[in-house]
This record gives sequence, C-alpha cells and structure tokens, in this order.
Amino acid sequence: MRRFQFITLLILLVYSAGSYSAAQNLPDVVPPPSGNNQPVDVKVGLYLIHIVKIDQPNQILSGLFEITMLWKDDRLSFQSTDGTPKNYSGADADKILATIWAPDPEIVNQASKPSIQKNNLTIFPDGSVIHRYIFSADILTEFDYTRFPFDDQELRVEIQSFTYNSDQLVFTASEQYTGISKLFRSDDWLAYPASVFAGFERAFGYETQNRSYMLYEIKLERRSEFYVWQIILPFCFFILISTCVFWIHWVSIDRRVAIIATFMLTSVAYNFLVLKYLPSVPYKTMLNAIITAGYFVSGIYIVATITFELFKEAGRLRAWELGNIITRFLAPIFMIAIWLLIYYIFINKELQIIYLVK
Amino acid sequence: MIKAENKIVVSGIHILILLCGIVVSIAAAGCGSDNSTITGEKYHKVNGVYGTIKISGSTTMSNLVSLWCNGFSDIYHNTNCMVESFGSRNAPQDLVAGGIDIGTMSEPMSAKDIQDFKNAYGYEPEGIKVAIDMIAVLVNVENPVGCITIDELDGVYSNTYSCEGSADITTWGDLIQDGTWKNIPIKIYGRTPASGTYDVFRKTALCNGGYKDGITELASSKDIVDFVSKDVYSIGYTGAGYLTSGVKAVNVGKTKNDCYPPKSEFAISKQYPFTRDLYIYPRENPSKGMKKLTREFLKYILSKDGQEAVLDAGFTATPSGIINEEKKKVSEGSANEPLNPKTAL
Repeated sequence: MRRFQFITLLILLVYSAGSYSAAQNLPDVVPPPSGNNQPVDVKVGLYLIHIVKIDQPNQILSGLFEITMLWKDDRLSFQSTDGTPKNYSGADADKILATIWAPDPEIVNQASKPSIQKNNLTIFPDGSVIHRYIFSADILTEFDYTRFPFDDQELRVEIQSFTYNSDQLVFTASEQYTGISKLFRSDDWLAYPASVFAGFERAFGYETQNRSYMLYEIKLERRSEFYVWQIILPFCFFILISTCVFWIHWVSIDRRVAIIATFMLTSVAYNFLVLKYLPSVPYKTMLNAIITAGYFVSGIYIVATITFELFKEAGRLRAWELGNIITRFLAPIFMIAIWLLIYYIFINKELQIIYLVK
Repeated sequence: MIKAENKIVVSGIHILILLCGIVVSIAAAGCGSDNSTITGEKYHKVNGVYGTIKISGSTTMSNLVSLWCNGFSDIYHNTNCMVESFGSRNAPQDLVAGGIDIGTMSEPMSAKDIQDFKNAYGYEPEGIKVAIDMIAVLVNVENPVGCITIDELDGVYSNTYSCEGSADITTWGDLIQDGTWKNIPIKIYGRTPASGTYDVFRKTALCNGGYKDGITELASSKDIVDFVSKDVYSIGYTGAGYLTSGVKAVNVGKTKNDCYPPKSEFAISKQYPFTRDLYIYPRENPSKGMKKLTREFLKYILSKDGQEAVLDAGFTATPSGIINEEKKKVSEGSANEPLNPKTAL
C-alpha cells in the first residue's frame, strides 16, 4: 500500500514538474500599448468584396471581405529620414505579427473559421500600424425571405475582441476603410453603403468586464428582374389566359373545365420547374402567395364554369348568359386584384399580417 | 323568371364582393402596431440625400439610433450611419472635436459643455428633444416590494443622504414589511459614470448627492436588467425601455401615497419622478446652414416614422406640441445642397 502511495506521489511530482516546464515554454504575450492608462484605440474598417453564395435554408452567407485595423504602438517607432514606412506582406507580415502586439478581432457570428487570403502590414516611423487582410468567411445571417423576390436584407458582421477587455482595447469605426468594394459584383444583389455601430458588450461570465464590439450592417437588395420575367410573369400569363374560356361559351362544360385545368396543371408543372430558384423556408414568401392565389382562383373559375353550366341545364339561360358575360371581365380583374393585394400586403412593412400568418 | 335569374347573379357578385371585403378587412386588421399615441405626419422622401451620418453618445439610445438609421437607410439607400455608443458624456467632446454630425444624450448638455461648443463653433448647440425616457427602478420579478419613495432610494444608493428624511438602507427589511426579508442585504447595481443615466439618477433620486461605495457599476442598461433578473435580492435602475420578464419596475413616488409606475401617461404628466427627455445635438446650426443629409435625418426622427421607432425601442414618444416646436428648429435656415450624388454599387 505504501509502495503504491509512493509511486502515485512520484507520478504527480513528475507530472506537475512537466506542466511547470511546459508553462515556462509558453511564448510571452506582448502586452497592448499602454498610453496614459487608456485603452488602445483600434480603428476598424470592413469591406465587402464579393458574395460567393447564400445558403438560404441554413442562413449562411459565404463572402470575401477585407478588414483594416489601424492603431498606434510607440514601441514600434523607428528613425527614418524620409518617413518611409516598413511594409510587409504574406509570410513576412505573419513573422512580424508574431513579435508585436496586434488586436485580435473575431467575427462573433461566423459559421466557420475564416480563411485569410492576403495579408499586409505597414508600420510607420511614429509607431502607427495598418494591418489589413482579405479573408473568406461564412457568416450566419438572419435573412427574412417573406418579401421574396422583392426583398432586401441586412448582412450583419459583428466583430469583438475576445482577448482584451474594454479597459485594454476599444474598437472605433474607420469610415475610410468601410463599405462595399469597387470590385463587388453580384448578379443577384445590389449592395448599399454599410452602417457601423460600435459600443461595449458585457463579457460572458464576468460582472463588470466589458468587451468592445463593432457591428457592420450592409444593406443588400435583391435584383428581382430575373424572378419577375422568368417566373412571375409567365405564371400570371398561364393563369390569366385560362379566363379565355368564358369568352368561348358555345363549347361544352368538359372542354371548358379541361382548358382551365390544363392551364392550372401547366402552372403546377412550371412551379415545380422553378422550385430550385425559390428559398426553402418554412413560411410563405410573397412568390408563394402569388402562386397559391393563382391556383385558388383557378379553382374558383372551375366552380364558376360548372355553376353556369348547371344554370343552362336548369333552363336558366339568362343567368347562364349573364354569368358568362360578367365573368369574362370579372375573372381576370379579380385575379389581378388579388395579386395586387398580395403585393401590397407583403411589400408594406407596416402591415404585420404576414407575420401573423407566419 | 328573369328576376330569379338576376337574383342569383347578383348574389354571386355579392359573394365576390364579400370575399374581397373579408380579404381587405383582414389586411386592415393587421395594420401597424400601436400608433395610437403618434399623431404626426409621415416622413416624405426628398431628392439628393446621400452620405454618412456620424453619431456618437448615449448607450441608452443605442437601440433607438439603430432603428432610426435602419429606417432612414430604407428610404435613402445611399445613406449609412457610423454610430459609437460609449456614453452620453462622450457626445459633447466628440461634437467639439468635429468628428461627428450628431451627438445623442440622455440628459441636456451642461453649461460647460455648451460653453465649450460655443467656443469651438461660435454658436450655441441646438438640443432637440426626440423622446421621453423613464428611469425605472427595477427588482427581480419575485421581489415583493411594490412602492419605493425617493428618500428610500437615496438611502439605498447614496452615502450623502441629500434627500429630506433619508437614512442609510442596507437590508431589504428596511423596505419590505415581510419578516423573511428582514436581514437580507440589498445587492445594488448602477450605471457607470460615462452614462447619462448615472448622472440623471444621481440628480433626481439622490437629490444631487453622491453614490455610496459598493455599488456594482455596469456599462449598459441590458446588463443591469440581466443581473437583476438573476438575483432575487438585487435592485437596479435603467431606462424603462429595457425591462424584460425577469424583472419588474417598482412604483416610485415622493411618498408611499403617490407612487406611480413608469408608464407613458405618467411620464407625459410628469407624475412619475424619474422622467427625462432624450436629446440629439447636431453639430451644425440648423439656421446657419446644415447639410441636407443631417437635416433630413432630423426631420425623419421627428416624423411619425421616427416617433414610431421611439415606441419600438421602448421609450415614450414626444408629445405632438413639443414635436412641432422641435420641427421648427430643424426646418429653419437654408440647406447646403449636395452636388454629386453617390450611386449604389
């Protein structure tokens, strides 16, 4: 028993000595520059360069961004006769960054670790530093597709420092380095200038410790032309053209119903065809509502046709004729009115009914 | 026969009209949120508004400013905001430094701030009242305290006891008759000195006195609510717009007989004692040439849309009489028309 205790003690001693030496081998962390006991002011700018893709069901946007950080560290100042800064790129920049203090901005709403593509570091004689890098990142979004395809979205990128609290580091916005890159091209989206919101957020698990954060909001507006010309107008055309049956009153009921049903089925087939272009979300979008209304009203056309035919069979020829004449005009007007109402309800942000439906 | 046929056709039309009516009624029923207290005009879009609005100041107003910015950029897509919410105390110095267009403050500028501004620009800053906030004294939802007087609050928070009749209060037994709370110490939360709320509470609840030691100071209203919701024996104060289900606002009054809850009607009538106006201070003087962007942003804030955002952020909308006065301040003078509108990428 004593031998066992001795061996256990020995193992613990060896282990703790090892841990101590491992801790001794940890690299020294360069502390942030402390000027007048004030936190380091790091100006941060973020450019959106490109939207690679948007995973609509999982609400993830993959994009290419450029982040720029500016701060001053007197410890890095050097003598220079002409004021030329030192410039480092790629691996050289990484080596220098490993030896100096640099802020550690992390994207709070990232879906996976960002991948740095290009890296540049510039140090000026007075100790001012500009560190910029291009990175690709998957950003978690909260896009609302209710108004699809006439929707606009807000891409939010929240940046925080997880190493330094607000007594050590404060992020402030750099207007110069924030916005949409001139290289930005997207067939699906228009991007508008980014808004930036900076402030403090309490660090989780701490009572009074805060962290500095920056929230970038980039407004994206969907280019809806494709959906209008390729989906909405053809679909509406199918539905509206089915109302022509009310003009050909001499044909039998089975033909009239068959014509409407054919157009309706064509619309259904067309809908399946374009399904891959629609966002897979569990709630109704405006486009869903337009299509559903089309089916619903087509059903009403069939019921109306049968009803008029019943009038004819009952010998009520006047009612049959009046019904047909009125419906010729009323049917397309009713359909268009329903679509316009849907558009108005969905597009008008003050009408909250769509959220009740959701 | 024809009569009967016509009757049938007319009935069909009636059904269609009825259907349309039902759809329209449903749409109308869903209209808007609580707009009953907002009577102003909606904002009307004008041409030539673009650029960046730089705003700095109040943390209390950070959510509200965010709503205004989003609403404004929905109207003008080529506008954006740069907002720094590090506390009301930062607004005057940022305005003087010239780095911002608008300062947001949860208290009016002090005489020194006004003088510094005047020295820098040659004119006095124009404070515009944009919303009413109430500082709510809050406790955990399980705390039985219902009413608290100003002198009691002074006893809880202060060590100078400047309010008449106040004395040191450290346990819940001094505030609640229930014997089980008798010796339980009060855990006190407050805001940091950079916050306008800190100063307003000191002036109103502490009768210009000083805070006692041992108060845990938190940087944001959300944090106060968060901590109080987790601690049954705690007390805090924050903007009334931040209340959640885990906390409750205590009625406050000069005496136990005139305690009022922090509700809009008592804010407007000033019966609730901790009521304050929220201000924005533009850097440029509206009557001496103000950028069109800034002017339109201010007009938007004072419009029905801007005041609806005030409600959405949990504050009380400014009464229409005051709004009309504030609108006059904004609409005076001539605007500098921009020349080269930036286009969207």
